[in-house]
Amino acid sequence: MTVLHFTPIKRRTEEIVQNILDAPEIQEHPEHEFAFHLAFEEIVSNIIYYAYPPEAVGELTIEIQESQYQVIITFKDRGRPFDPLSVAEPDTTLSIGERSIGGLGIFLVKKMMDTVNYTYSDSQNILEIRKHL
Amino acid sequence: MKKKEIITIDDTTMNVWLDGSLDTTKATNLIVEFDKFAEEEIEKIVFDASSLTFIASTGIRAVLYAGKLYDNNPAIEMVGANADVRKVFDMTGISSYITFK
Repeated sequence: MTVLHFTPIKRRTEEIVQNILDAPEIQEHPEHEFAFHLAFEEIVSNIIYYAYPPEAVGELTIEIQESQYQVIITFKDRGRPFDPLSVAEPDTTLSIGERSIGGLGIFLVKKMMDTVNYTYSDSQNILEIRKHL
Repeated sequence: MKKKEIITIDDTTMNVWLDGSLDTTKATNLIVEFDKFAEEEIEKIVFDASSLTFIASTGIRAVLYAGKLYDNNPAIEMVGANADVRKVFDMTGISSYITFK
């Protein structure tokens, strides 16, 4: 298992995403690289932009585990409790003028991964994503 | 490093060159760039995506933002997008507003 810990986190999206992509459990599956990259980018940028108040230092822990059948990535932050799965899915059938500019991030994570789970425990937002192999 | 020009105007066509990874940081910068051209009369926006390897939801938003900048509903073309990039447009339902070439 790889465990990554970052603090502070502001303006470090690119660096943090690259660190997760460099984990051996992820590097072993180049066929899923785009899906992982997209999911990590959406989740990490959401935590950096929204989890903590502007003056907070913020912290983010990422655990990456691999089994024979799947890769499990867990994101833990100590920001305000927020369930990203509670956000309404964007209506992808509306015209361009009617489309709101938002809500696409977690929608793409769900599309790219096989399972997405959220829990709040021990003062932490815990978002777990799984990709089947 | 020499700064590359990413947006050019040719009469009523806006050409946008996308390179590498259109992630959250780059997409935010791109939206700032689009705002500089808000007074132009634009009928078509052509994105050159032939060097684009990655796009996040903020990148999709930036493309939508360019279209919404003009009241006349300009045509949006995406040239040379690879299969992964195209898939992100398809999943979000944005493909229907865009002509892929």
